[in-house]
Amino acid sequence: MSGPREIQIKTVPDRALLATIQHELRTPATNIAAYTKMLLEESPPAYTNDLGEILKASNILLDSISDLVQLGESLRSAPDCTDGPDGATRLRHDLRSSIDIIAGYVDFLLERTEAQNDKKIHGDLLRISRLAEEMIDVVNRITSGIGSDEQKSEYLNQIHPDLTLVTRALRTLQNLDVTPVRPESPARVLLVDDNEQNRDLMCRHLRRDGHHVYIAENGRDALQMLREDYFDIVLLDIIMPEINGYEVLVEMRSDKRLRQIPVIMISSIEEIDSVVRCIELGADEYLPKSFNPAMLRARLAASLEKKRLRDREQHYLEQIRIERERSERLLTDILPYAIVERLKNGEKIIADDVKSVTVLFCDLVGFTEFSSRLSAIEVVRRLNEIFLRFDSLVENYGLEKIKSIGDAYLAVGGLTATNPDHAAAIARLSLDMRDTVVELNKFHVDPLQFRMGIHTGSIVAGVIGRKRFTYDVWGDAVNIASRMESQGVPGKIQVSEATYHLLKDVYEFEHRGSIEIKGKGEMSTYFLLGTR
Amino acid sequence: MKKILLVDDLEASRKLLATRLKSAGFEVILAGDGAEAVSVATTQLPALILMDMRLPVKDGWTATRELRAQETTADIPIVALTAYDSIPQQRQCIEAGCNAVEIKPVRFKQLVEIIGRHLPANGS
Repeated sequence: MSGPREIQIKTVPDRALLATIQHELRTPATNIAAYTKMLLEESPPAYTNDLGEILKASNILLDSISDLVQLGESLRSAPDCTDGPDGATRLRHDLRSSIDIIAGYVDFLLERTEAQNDKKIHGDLLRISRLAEEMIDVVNRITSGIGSDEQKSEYLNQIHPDLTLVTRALRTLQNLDVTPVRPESPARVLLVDDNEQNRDLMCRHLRRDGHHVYIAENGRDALQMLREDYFDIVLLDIIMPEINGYEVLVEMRSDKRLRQIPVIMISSIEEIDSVVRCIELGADEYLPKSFNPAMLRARLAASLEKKRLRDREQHYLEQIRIERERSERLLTDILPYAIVERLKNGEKIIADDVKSVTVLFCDLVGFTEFSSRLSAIEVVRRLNEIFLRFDSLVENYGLEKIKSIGDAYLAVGGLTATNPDHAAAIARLSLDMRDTVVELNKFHVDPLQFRMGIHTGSIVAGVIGRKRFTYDVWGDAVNIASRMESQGVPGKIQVSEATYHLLKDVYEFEHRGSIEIKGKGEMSTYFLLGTR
Repeated sequence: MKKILLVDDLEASRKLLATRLKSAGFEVILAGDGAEAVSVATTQLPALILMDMRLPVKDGWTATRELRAQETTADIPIVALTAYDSIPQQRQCIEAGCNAVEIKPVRFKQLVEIIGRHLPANGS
């Protein structure tokens, strides 16, 4: 507030004008009450009576200021009332009377505390004295008169920072398109207010409760500090120059990093709209400027507690997500991915008729007798050596490993859409598997032999069992492939006629001849030698 | 010791000023409304009257006019101590017969000075 400006209460006062006056009066009045309460707590009993009178007067003062709204209403409804002193005169009179009492007692106390050398109390009394003077300045500037709209707008156009601020805040409210304790541990609090007294008062309360308080004098600084540092909670004044509290709040809520920080809005605007809007904007709490220190403490604690609960919830949700992913991964280790998806989608029974697949059986010859010579660990190690490589190969070619039983390995191609040319894929797989065994044999004194059998046909595939379930295949084609293997020759890959016909142009075969397949009769078979 | 009549309807104001005036060396008598002001002034004949204007029963302007109309009290200096700050209201005080008008809030030191200026030279 600088320079003498006349604030005119016209017969029909502007809403923003009244709000400005209220704001200008309420800020110091509230602070007078707050400082006085603090003094009452901290001063020796000798001063209690007089401080009590100051407090009483400041409360009456606040009531008078609240009556400003009524004044506006009454003037609006009866602008021609000339009976007795008009509302503005009465208002100024009441303000002066209260301020007179406050100033008088403060003056008196100042005299006494100066003598006693009570520096702390003296300091606060001086503050109250200055605030009283500040208020008289405002009162002096409120003149009553009847003016034209022209005159009114002239005043409103005068550079009046607080008026602009209040109007802007009210306008921001309208234009915003936004869809919507004693604490256990000290918090890092960011306090944003452009008024020094307000900051000082809040700061003292908060620090007394053990919190770490950081200050920003305007919205811009506040946002910068929020981006550079970490805070548990923000106490945010609404009416500030450049960027007002609403705008800071909107900015915070749209920034991913700042969204979670609880915000308590503080303002002397006591319209219910502004409270509602603040909450809609995402403020956690709302405190009027004339706050009760106990309320500040309680609301701060409540907001911090809410944040802690939210953080914990986020943590739990994250844990749940991790566990769920883990379960899924486990499941896809057991079942083909496509099957897992179907189970997730709610299919209860997986049983498919698959028209054309190629089945491969691989058996390690003499492994049983072999394993009786080795220790359990060596058996498993040896098997893993081979089967893990088989598993990689199967995955590479986009085929499905069905299972391994003991030293037998079963793979199928054509179960998933990924490999239409399943016969060729299985053929390539079998050749790679052959080479793997041969290669690995070089590292061992007792080499292993294999037999492999391949057949192409139709099967049934599905998930069988409840505990230790598997995805398995059944059908004639499976049996034939199995016979191809069991009735094969060590070191050879025996394929059926059906598979041969699919692959004869790309791969090289040796005709084995005809063999008697148990339960099927005579079948012509071939040995797969390699690619052409 | 000079006797001062302090008229104010707010008890807090009366208490404070009374205490301070007493420690400044004055004898203080009190009245809480306009009618009381006239009767106390008439019976006690203070050296000076500090008169608030907004008073119950009878307002300060009326009380002042009445005191001016009485011979015994016509010459007692009356200082209006009021929170009514508009020019017409201040003029009203002078026209009613006040010797001076001070707008609240008034600093105590200033008040003592003003009292000194308006007190009669001898202790009557």
